[in-house]
Amino acid sequence: MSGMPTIQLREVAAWVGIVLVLLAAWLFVHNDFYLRLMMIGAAYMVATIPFGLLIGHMGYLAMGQAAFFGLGAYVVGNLTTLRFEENYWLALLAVILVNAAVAYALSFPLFRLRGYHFAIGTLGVGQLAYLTFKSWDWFTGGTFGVSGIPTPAIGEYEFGDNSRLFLLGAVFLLISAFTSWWLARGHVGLALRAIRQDEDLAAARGLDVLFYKRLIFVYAAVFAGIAGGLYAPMQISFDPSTFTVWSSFQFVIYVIIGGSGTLVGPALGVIFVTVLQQAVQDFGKWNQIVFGLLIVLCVLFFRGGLWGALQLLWQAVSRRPRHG
Amino acid sequence: MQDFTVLVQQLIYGISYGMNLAVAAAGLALLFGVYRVVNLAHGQQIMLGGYTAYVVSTAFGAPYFVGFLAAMIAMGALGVLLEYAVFQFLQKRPLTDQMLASLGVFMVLGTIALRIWGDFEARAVHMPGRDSALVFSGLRIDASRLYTVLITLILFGLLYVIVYRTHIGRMMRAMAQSEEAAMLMGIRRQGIAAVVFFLSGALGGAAGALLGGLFNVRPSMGFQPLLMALVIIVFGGMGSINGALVAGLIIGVLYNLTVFYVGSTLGELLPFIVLLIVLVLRPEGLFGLPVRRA
Repeated sequence: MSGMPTIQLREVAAWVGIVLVLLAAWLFVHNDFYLRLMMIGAAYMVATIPFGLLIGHMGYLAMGQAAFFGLGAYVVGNLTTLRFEENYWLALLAVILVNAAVAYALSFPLFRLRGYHFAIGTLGVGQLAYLTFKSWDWFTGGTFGVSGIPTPAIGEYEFGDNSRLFLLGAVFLLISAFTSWWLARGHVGLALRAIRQDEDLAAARGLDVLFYKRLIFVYAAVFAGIAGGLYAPMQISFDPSTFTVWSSFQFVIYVIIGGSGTLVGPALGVIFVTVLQQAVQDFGKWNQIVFGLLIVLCVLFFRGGLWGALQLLWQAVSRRPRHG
Repeated sequence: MQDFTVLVQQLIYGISYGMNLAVAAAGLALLFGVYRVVNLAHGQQIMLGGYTAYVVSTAFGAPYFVGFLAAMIAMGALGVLLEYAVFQFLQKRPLTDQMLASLGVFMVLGTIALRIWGDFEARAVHMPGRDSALVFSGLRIDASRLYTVLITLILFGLLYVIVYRTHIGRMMRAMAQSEEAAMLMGIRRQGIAAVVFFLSGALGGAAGALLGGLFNVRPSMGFQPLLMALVIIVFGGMGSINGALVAGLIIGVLYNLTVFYVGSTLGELLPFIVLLIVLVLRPEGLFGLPVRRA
């Protein structure tokens, strides 16, 4: 198995571009409403990009990701306000450990399953987690929820308003995106593709299939937890209704509409869905119809999603005359 | 003997609830067995079945039984429509793609119902026996619960006759065993697909009309039965109708007894704990075919 492919100039340029866009967004957006959408969007992207590796690259449809998202939020809630008054960063570290441990334990039963069985199994985990969040008052405050997460701070610099919280989210977004990119471009990415195409063949050819599946599952769960940990201080309060099976479906929707099997797609999906949600708000309750139809259309005709559509468009525009 | 009476009563409630879920699950199981689709939109067929029964029997004042039949026919037709509009294009795709598409359909149908009938306003379907009870020596049982058991037994009987005693049923079973061989024998795929989607939708509609009669009708009522039905078809074995009936009864009775004797929290958790245990120990379920393990 060969090492990493050499880094191309194109990729460096893309990363510089992403950092610049995030920086520009932070510097020039002052509208509090937009900042709020941006910071929540950033938190969701932290979870969605690694999740895209799981359901897109690897092809394992997980339908209970809100369980890990919620676990992250509640671990932070417990350690900073509900039970203890620990430092926020310590709590975030605890989230990483707890989520990794829980995901690792769950990977044993869940990866005995594949295909629709895996989807139903994770759906069951998601529902179990939601019911647990709802009824385990000691850990979650029950339906009253958790409120008053202290603002994270580094020394004197407090992440007290939406703009600074967006900055915090953007930093973790970069970490999440960069690690996902790093994983996807090397031999892990090849392994994931092999698993999606034919798991039995990959195993027969000597690939330690279970190792890679477990790696990506734990990785996605850890970042879902971090996203939950970031989401917690962005809210005045949160309760179990944020972590239902529907929230899990939301992550799937981001990836499918944005474009599964790519790295940009899931992030694009979060942006697109957030913007569209604002745009169709005037229709009131019709907005779910728009997303439902989009999913059906994406699955039926357009597996590449939005990012695939943009790429096709780019190819059409920039097509040069062929020689020979 | 007070305790014993209560236990019998709870058992009967559990059986009626379990039968009810079994009808919903049988629709899913049939569809999976013949057509290899895990149709999440089935949950909304349950919900819309409840509303069809409500509209026909409460708003138009027809007898409950007419509303029940209308729900079955309307949801069967909706199933055929879904096959025609969505699922026929997903034949060669991974099963998870079909689940995703059905999730989209779930959202669309849910929104339509929400739009027509409003948020969380519960509506009652006038089921006969809802207000009357049978009393045997201190044992009080709602008549509607007994009707439910009776109706579901008739439905399962009909389903058995259709699947095991008719030509169409034989074609369906051939399709389930080997699609290619069945098609080589001259069975038309499209025709069987339409029949199976109709039957599945009709069972969903029947489950909805019954649930609406026992409890109330609301736009969100399809989700819980859908999750329970998924648990049941995995437990009973994907694609097995016998499995759906047996697993439905077990889950319904367990659920009711746990809610009554231990508490509703554990009762709600229990089906999903069962799901995980079954998936780990016996992924093929009670009556299912062997599953290739990952």
